[in-house]
Amino acid sequence: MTRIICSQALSKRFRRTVVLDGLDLEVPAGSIYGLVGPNGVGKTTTIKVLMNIFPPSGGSSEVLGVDSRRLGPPQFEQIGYVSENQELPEWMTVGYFLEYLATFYPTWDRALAADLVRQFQLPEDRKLRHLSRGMKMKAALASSLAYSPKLIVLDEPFTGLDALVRDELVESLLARSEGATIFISSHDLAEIESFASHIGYLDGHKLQFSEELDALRARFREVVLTFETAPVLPEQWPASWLQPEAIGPVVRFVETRFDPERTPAEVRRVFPDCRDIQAEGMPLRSIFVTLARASRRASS
Amino acid sequence: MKHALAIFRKDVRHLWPRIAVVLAVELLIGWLSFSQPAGLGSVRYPLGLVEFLAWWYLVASAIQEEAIPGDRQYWLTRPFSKRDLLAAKLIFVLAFTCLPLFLGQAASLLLRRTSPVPYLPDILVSQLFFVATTVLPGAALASISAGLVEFVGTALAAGLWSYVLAMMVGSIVLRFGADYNWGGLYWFRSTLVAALMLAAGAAILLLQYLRQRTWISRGIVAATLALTAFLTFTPGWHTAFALQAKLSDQQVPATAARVTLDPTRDPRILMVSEAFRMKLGQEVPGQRSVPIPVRITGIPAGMAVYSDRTWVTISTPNGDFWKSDWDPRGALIRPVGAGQAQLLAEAVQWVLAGDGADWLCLLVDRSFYGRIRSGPVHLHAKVALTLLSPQQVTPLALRDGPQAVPDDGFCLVRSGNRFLETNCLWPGRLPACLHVHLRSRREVHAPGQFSWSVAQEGDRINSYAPYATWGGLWQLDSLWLNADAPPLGADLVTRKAVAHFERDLDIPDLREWANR
Repeated sequence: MTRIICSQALSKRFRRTVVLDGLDLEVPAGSIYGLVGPNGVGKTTTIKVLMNIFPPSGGSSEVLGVDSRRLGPPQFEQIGYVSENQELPEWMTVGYFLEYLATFYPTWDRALAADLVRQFQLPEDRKLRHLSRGMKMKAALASSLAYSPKLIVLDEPFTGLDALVRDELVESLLARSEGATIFISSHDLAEIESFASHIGYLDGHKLQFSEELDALRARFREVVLTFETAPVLPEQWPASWLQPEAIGPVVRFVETRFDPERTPAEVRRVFPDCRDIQAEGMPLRSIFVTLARASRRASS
Repeated sequence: MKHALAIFRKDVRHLWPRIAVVLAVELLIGWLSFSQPAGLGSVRYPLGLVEFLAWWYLVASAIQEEAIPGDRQYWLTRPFSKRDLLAAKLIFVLAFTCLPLFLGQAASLLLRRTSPVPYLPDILVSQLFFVATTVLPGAALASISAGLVEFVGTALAAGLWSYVLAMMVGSIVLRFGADYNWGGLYWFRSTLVAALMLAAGAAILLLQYLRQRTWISRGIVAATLALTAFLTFTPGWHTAFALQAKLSDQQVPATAARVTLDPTRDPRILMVSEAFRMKLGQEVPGQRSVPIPVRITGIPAGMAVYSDRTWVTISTPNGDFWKSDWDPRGALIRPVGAGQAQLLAEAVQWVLAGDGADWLCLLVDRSFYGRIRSGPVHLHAKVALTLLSPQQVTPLALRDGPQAVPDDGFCLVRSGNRFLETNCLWPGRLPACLHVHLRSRREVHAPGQFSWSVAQEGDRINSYAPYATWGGLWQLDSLWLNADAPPLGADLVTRKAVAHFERDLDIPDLREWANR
């Protein structure tokens, strides 16, 4: 599968502060890639380096097959970028904003733009500064979809938006971006879970993993073991078992490499007298909370 | 170019109220400066500052539409070519600063019933200076600022840095011998400073728009200001004079304007007048003024000479040696006044026409003078001279309203019971030498009219520049004359610089030295 974005050992420092450390990233064409992680781990910086807003301190990255340090107008004609903290020309009306930008995109579709304005119920004659946060994001998204970009980059687009607006944005995004690759950063895991095809988890300024969402869901299980009496706990837990806890005759942990055959065998090896094994799928949010806690514990 | 024009149209759409206000302010100030140069009085400089700030405000507003520093601007991830962006800003600057100024300058000439065509080179040079010293510095500072507030902060920091540098460089140079008054040659420094600002401003804009290197650009700003402070005191006056001589329209034969010793006059009599001694720099610490009686011969009829600077070496048979730099305080002068001029002179002429009893005044190191005063010395002096054209005398009427003077200039005259004020403007450049004769009825030394004039002091020689450097197309010269009685009339006397050359004065055996 073609890669729309890829990076090798990408790093970024601001003076002595390391914000990104050896990022290896691959975003397949046509995927909806969610870059997730706690606040302050470098999601926005990653995007800004990829978009040639910040120069990298080390490593390399390519976007649409071009070194990200050389991204210019020909590439930006195919990229739609929306960020929660983007500074828009607030004196412009919505209508003039779209009309002005149309000049710069050879593939700008005026009918599509008008359609997006209608769909988002954007007031064309109102200045951007007089729009609510949600409406501003809609205007920014409309201005980034009207030329059918190959790559849509969204940096925390849903922050501070109410549920209705978020749903509208997601629906429109999915409906209007057929064939495009979407790269979205968010700490709002519930939204990502509903439509992402791939997930990258950034923590400790490093990409902890990057894989398809289905595969991720398949390998994470919350396992509950039931015993006749309180079991003797092992001194060394298997590395793939996170957050183990025992309450009387019940032991719980998160298996990060679940396999329907291998995992029960591993349990029987560690706990030969286990009476019952239950393995439940986990919501994305629980997976990341588990990973984040494990990461913090490891670093402390 | 299509994109550049789109950005330009967008800027105009957003900034038209600011454009309108700034152009109205500039029009008003330009009109006041042109029509009421006398009326502005002490408001002239604050108005000049307002004019400058208004241009900066407009230029900075245009640049800040797409601020360069920062990482949140929407246009960073849009297909905006930086070249198009720079081109759009250049179009804006040309359209709303240079073009209005050009039209204003052309209109001002037409108002004076003068065709702008012969003055196109002057207008273009004036525009170049305007771009180099006003537009580009404002644009460069705006391009390294993330907003108008930061722009103001950056400009204030740059101003403070300039002030500190000027103080530092000034104190250092003054300690080791100041050379900041280049007189008529000051335009070389002005041109160098403007060229430096032009180069630095262009470099910063290119660096910012093509590479976005804000910290390097800020370094260039700091370095440019430091270099500008240094250029204000840079040495090299004699090189500039040699260059000026090469630029002269006219070459002077070696026999013209020769300076020779006049052994018939006793130098001691010159020391009688206290005021005269003051003028000669008698009070300069560590230096002793030494007047040498000389004659200047061969000045072409009607013309005059002005000594810009002197350079002298003095050696003794014992091997003592001293030499000066090219000293602006050393000069050829002619005492004027009633009675025995040499004895009572309260004024001196610096512009010397025809043969006369002149003095070459030199400043010699006081301790060296003390050592060699008893013996004969070998004195060799070089005098840098400017040949001035025959004077043009234009009567000025004591009435309101502009009065035409030669070379498309005009004067505004204001007089009272005891004063006369003239404000004369010329397009392009001023006459090298200018003074006003005031006629009043009061009889002082002789029956009839008493003619009282203000002679040009050395520092009143105007620029020898072939073009206007500072202050726009119209160059202003203001004079204020105090009179003993109500003025009756006045004459404007002007001369042009036609050539620049050096003359030697060699006195192998100066024996009168001990008498001085």
